[in-house]
Amino acid sequence: MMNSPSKDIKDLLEDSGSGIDLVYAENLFCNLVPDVGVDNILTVTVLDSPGDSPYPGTAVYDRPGIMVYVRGVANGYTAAYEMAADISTYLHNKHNETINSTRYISIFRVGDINWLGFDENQRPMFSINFAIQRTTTA
Amino acid sequence: MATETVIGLDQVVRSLNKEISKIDGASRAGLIKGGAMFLGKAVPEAPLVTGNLRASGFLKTSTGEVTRGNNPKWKGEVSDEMEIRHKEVLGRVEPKRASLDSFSLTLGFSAVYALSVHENPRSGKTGGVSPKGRPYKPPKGSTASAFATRGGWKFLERAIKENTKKFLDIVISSVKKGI
Repeated sequence: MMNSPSKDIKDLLEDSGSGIDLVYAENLFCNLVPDVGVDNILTVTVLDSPGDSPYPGTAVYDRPGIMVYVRGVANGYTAAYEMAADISTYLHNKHNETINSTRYISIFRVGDINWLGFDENQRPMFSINFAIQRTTTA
Repeated sequence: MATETVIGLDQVVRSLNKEISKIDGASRAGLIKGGAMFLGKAVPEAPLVTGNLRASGFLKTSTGEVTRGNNPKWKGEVSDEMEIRHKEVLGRVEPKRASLDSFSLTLGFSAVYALSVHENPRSGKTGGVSPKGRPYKPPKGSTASAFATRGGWKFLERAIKENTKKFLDIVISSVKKGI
């Protein structure tokens, strides 16, 4: 069985090959945006989001979506944007990548990097959406 | 030298153009109907506090017709701000799309906070408290609840992705009826 797309993409981002300095449960999270205890670091959360219907047929050919949510430190707009841009550059157009035994045929960014404003603690927030096509490796 | 004379070519072209214009009109009608269906699915899924977010939903054609969201009813002290913003957004939609030759639709929500609500996975599911447990205050000047108990994030994206086939069926059906 395939993992949730968010888990695989989280693993991909954490991989040292990404060149992005993210460590799971420190500044990288999956599906639950952290709050308590991590106020002073920039955090990245990968979430499963609405996708398209799978292609019909017997083969598994799913088209899920993910959203990457970047929240900076208070008033740290530039660093948060740069993190969002680095993630976007790294993930967009990635193709034919096998992650945890699932073949990711393509990953495309949908739309631009979304500026969501500051939260109540003046932390800047960005979201980036990606459309995925994936299948089993077997 | 063999020659052939074609008679009535003008009439043939005129007839073809007439039929094509019927298809064009029918496909436009289908697109508008399909767009309204998308919006109709998205609005009830938008988080509800004052109702202003839901009221800010609109559908506008590249020919300048606002088929949904023409005269929204706003609530609370922010009514004037909502109205100004709504008109500004509707005005901004047109020039961008008017540059395209083909007919197109734009649908969305004009509320200034629509994007942040749409992209926030906690939308509609906060239980009235921040992640740190601080209770939310009601919107300024509003007697409404302080937080949404209905609806959720990705309300527009989900409506579109889950109803793409229905949209195509509406357009196809409209074109067939128009021929």
